[in-house]
Amino acid sequence: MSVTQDHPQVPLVIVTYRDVYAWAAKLDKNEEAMYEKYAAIVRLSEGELKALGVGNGGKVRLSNSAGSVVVRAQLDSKCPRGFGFMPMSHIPNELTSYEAGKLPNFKWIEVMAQAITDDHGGQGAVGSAKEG
Amino acid sequence: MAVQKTICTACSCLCDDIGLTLEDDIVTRIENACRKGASFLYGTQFEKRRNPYLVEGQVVDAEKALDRAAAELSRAKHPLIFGLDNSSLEAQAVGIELARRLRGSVDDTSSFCQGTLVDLILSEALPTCSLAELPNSDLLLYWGSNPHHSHPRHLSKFTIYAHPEYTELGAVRRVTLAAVEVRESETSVICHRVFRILPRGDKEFIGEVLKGIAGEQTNREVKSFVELLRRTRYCIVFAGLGLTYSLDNNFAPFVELARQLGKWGRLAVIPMVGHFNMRGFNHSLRKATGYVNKVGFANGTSRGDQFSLLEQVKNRSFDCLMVVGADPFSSLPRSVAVGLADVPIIAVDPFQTATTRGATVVLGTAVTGVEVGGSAVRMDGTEVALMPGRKPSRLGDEEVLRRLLEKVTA
Repeated sequence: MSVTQDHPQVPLVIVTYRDVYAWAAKLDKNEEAMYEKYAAIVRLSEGELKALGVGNGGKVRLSNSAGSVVVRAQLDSKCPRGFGFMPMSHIPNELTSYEAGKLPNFKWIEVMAQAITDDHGGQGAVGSAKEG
Repeated sequence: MAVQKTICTACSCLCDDIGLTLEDDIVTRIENACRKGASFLYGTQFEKRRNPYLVEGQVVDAEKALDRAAAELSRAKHPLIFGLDNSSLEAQAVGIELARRLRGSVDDTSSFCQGTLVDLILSEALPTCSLAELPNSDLLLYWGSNPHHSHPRHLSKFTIYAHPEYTELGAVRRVTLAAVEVRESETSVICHRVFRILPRGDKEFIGEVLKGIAGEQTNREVKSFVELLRRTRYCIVFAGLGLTYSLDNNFAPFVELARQLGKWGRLAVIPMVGHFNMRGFNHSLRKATGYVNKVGFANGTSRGDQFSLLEQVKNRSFDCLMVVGADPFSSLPRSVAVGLADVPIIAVDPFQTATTRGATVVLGTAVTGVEVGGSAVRMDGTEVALMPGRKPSRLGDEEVLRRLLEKVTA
């Protein structure tokens, strides 16, 4: 288990958005390696970072019944409390689900967030969700 | 070296002022394209990203791959064709005909994107306009969209910075840029007016605006929105996925809002469509069947959620999937995409994707708009003739679909 016991679990709603830099990094010969950097982030308010006990750039594990991913927290001072914003990619898609007759929950993904430390090897790798 | 004019097919802006400089058919310079367009146009020539013809992972010639694809489609009792949003109108028409011939079903990304909104526009439940009418407008309202990322030249080529009345000087503003947005985005920070709502707050916001229009008590933010619209002569709403997902595709409150606001001045809605010809697919399928997506041909022509990719994957109700220019392995919820694992998949795509990596047959095609031509429908409904700049090294998807149509036995 890569999660330290002293970091609290915080409920969050993740909302995805389009990010041109992540999109372009997939196609750009010189930026392919940057894709995870652009895509594997969650933008959070200062209050949320404090509640999680994580600094700007720290690792956060987002989990729900669909799956689990590790991303870097990024301070977004205008982000409303209780929400986190993530670029749309295969990474948040590890957490999304679909109910008949509705749209997939790309813009309302309920998760538990927990800060993780760096000393847990591969399990804490950022963007640990795998495409395909 | 001559500069060739081309139309960018990276998004549904279909920017028509792109300059390509080619040396031995290699793009050495691109003019006017945005970050998205430039990556796309350069990316087309990286062979390691492109698909060959593959059958079960082995490189084969085009004929063998087409034969195997036709055999899989012919064998299937319930084939599904998905995608076609990055294909020309001509290719879409062939793809739809192929689904009909196979008595299968056809769907595209619009079934979980902007399809419902486009349908409302095509059926005239919502008013619309072309981007050419922009000079007549005095309010440009981005609702649940951030063109800075989704359509990077939208603001400069088509809307606020292209507006003849736009100026940074003067005491009286003749055109206003506004946004209804859930977060502070690159677009919202340059807007003259921003109406911040919480995620999934659009329905409540619209409800309050309708109360404000009716003269009922409401909050200050909503009053200010109502006042802005009351003073507006011609408002164009650029509706994004934020609005679609917040309303969960139930646009009834938004239609009512448009109807009420239309009493004060002209209002038009333009969907911020993602893929370059997704709106074109809606037009093509509507022309062929009367419906914009989720169509089945097993018993005549019918439409319903049971024909959507999402429902069919969830219920495993198809036995062969042909994906044309889409990547459901990446774009669907993972919990749904796992349902694609045991089904033969035929991927028709210029580029390698998670879906092509998992496909039984891969038909690597030319890039529409860059290497092969045809026509497409811009986000505002305007039909555009594409201007390919590079020579094709593979068959275009129209040709691939036509060859399959000849080979399949229904």
